[in-house]
Amino acid sequence: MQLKPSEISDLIRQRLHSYQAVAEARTEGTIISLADGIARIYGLDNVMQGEMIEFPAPREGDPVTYGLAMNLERDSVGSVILGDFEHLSEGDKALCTGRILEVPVGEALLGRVVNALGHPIDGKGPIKTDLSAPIEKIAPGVIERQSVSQPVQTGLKAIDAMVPIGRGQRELIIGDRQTGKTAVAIDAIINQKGTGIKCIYVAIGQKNSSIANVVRKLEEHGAMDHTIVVAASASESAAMLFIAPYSGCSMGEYFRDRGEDALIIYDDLSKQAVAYRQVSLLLRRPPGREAFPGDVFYLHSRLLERASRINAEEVERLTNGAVKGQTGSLTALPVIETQAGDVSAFVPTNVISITDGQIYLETDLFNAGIRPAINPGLSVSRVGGAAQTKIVKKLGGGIRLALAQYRELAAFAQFASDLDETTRKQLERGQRVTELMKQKQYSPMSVAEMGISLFAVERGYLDDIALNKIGAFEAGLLAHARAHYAELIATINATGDLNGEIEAGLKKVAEDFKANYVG
Amino acid sequence: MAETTTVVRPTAAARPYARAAFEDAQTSQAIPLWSDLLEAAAAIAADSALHRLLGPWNPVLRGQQKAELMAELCRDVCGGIALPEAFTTFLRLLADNHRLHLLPSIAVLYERLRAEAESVVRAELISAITVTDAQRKRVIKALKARFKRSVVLDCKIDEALVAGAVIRVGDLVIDGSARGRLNKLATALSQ
Repeated sequence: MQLKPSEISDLIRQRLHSYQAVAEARTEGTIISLADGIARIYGLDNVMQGEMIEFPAPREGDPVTYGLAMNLERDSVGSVILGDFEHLSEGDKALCTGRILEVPVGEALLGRVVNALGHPIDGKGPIKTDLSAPIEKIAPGVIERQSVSQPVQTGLKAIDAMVPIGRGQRELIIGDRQTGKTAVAIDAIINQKGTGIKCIYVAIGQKNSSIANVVRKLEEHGAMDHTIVVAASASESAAMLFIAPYSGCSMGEYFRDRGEDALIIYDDLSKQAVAYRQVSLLLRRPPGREAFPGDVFYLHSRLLERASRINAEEVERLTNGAVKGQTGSLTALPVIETQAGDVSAFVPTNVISITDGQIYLETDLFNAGIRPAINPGLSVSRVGGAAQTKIVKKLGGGIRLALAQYRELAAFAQFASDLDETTRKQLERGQRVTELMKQKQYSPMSVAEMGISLFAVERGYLDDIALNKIGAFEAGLLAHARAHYAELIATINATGDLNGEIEAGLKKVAEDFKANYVG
Repeated sequence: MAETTTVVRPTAAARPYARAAFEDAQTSQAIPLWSDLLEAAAAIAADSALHRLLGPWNPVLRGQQKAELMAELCRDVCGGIALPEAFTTFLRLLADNHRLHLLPSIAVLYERLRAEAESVVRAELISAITVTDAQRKRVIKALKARFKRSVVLDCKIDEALVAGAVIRVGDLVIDGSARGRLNKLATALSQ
């Protein structure tokens, strides 16, 4: 006789307690066709759009199978089945539940890996939370919002200096395959350690091995404690891939609505759009451009609108006065994979137009060893400037300009000997800045470290350093600062300001180090 | 696993025919007669051998012949009554438009329209043991109050329910059976 984990007397008693034996009235329908995870149901006159539909369980005693009502037609209801459907057949009963699909939310999810329905898949036991939230919610309106004014530090120099991200912003990470999109996202999560920003990583249509890798890396860097991983791997049904971002978003909104800050990464929305296309075509919705259904824009816009910063009054209202004087935010970093750098395809253009800027990663830069492979010309942040840390803003202001001038002149670089003094200087500055923007994976930098590096290049301390020594110089400079100027670093990290005193301090660090630098 | 039932799924094409038939029956005040005839015709059309014979996929018989054959069979099934002319014309029209195979759908939709017009709901009471007349009356009274319509109650007995009863009105299922409660308890314990 084999015992199931659910057969513990305490648990049974607890469940008996919550069990209510009342006669209930439910609307019942019949499956009339079933294929590819889509069930067409006859009956269910009163079903709601997006309502959960209950199908029979695979075996008696197993949890029942759920579906999602997607197409309400005159005589039938088109529904996608969430999970396995091999045990279902034509003629089976389908019941209305009267509920919109919900997922568990709350602090208990932090550190866990869950599927698109919020069920744990990491083998660490059940999730102890009584809270749940519907996966589809209307985004906060105009009145409830507040503009972006606090930064989310990704810890990547290139991003924090050139395309700053604010709390509540939606910044797209776009690029071809193998350009380091996930790496940027993971670094951003790692850097949130100790900042109070909760992270949600939604993996959509990825290999299970890749997801396991991400989880392992996050654990190694101690970032799992503040992170929820929502995984809908490539082996799961299209319906699960389609709902995963909404589930993750609801988990993030829980923190936002309690006056906390959260960061959510959708990796990636191209695969979600493809899954949605599959579901739509199987439901016989008419195909449009690239065979996507007509509402693929709405698919992403309603999701990304939910990333927002809400004001203190709204937080107070949502928490019934328990949290006062705090704003809440949900920052979104959606990821889109382009094909051969084509940003004018349907889904990339849609998401570019929805988000507040994009980080554009390029294969050529990646292969040239410039990592993160951010294209500084095409990457923008439309609202992040208002939220940028003062020191990074002041010192990093020249970086974009230097790189823009460098790009214009780069073609002349091979005639270096024939060029005039100004042009040559601009070229050299550009090369040095490009070199300095390189950063190793899993090594995010603090504001102070970034400030020191940017100060060095801005004030010309790198001008006489050989190009191939820039990395080593920077590492040495930072090590020197950490060893001898811990107080200055602490001050900068605490205030993020650049005043006369701090500037003098930075100057001292750079000169001090350079005096003893032998190259 | 739930028991499988054959579902006649009303198709969009059947809708205008059902409405036309119902309206004609209404004006000629022959609603119950048409009901019987359509039921008979539906049963004939649903028979697999006749389905092959009468469907648009059979090129051997012309539409007219199919209509005549159908009318004759209907007459036999209904005990040799004289068919109203409107009904034979209706069958001919269906045959000409290659829609004879839609008769089961048409019958279902016709019944729906009839129930709507007469403001009647058909309810099914499935119980574990035979219900008494007093119980029947109580159920009818309760359903009348709920649906604000007159109720026609069909009673069935299913011992698998153990105790209690299940009431089925269209899509709506009110499950007050011991089997249903036991199933719910099993779900509550396993989740």
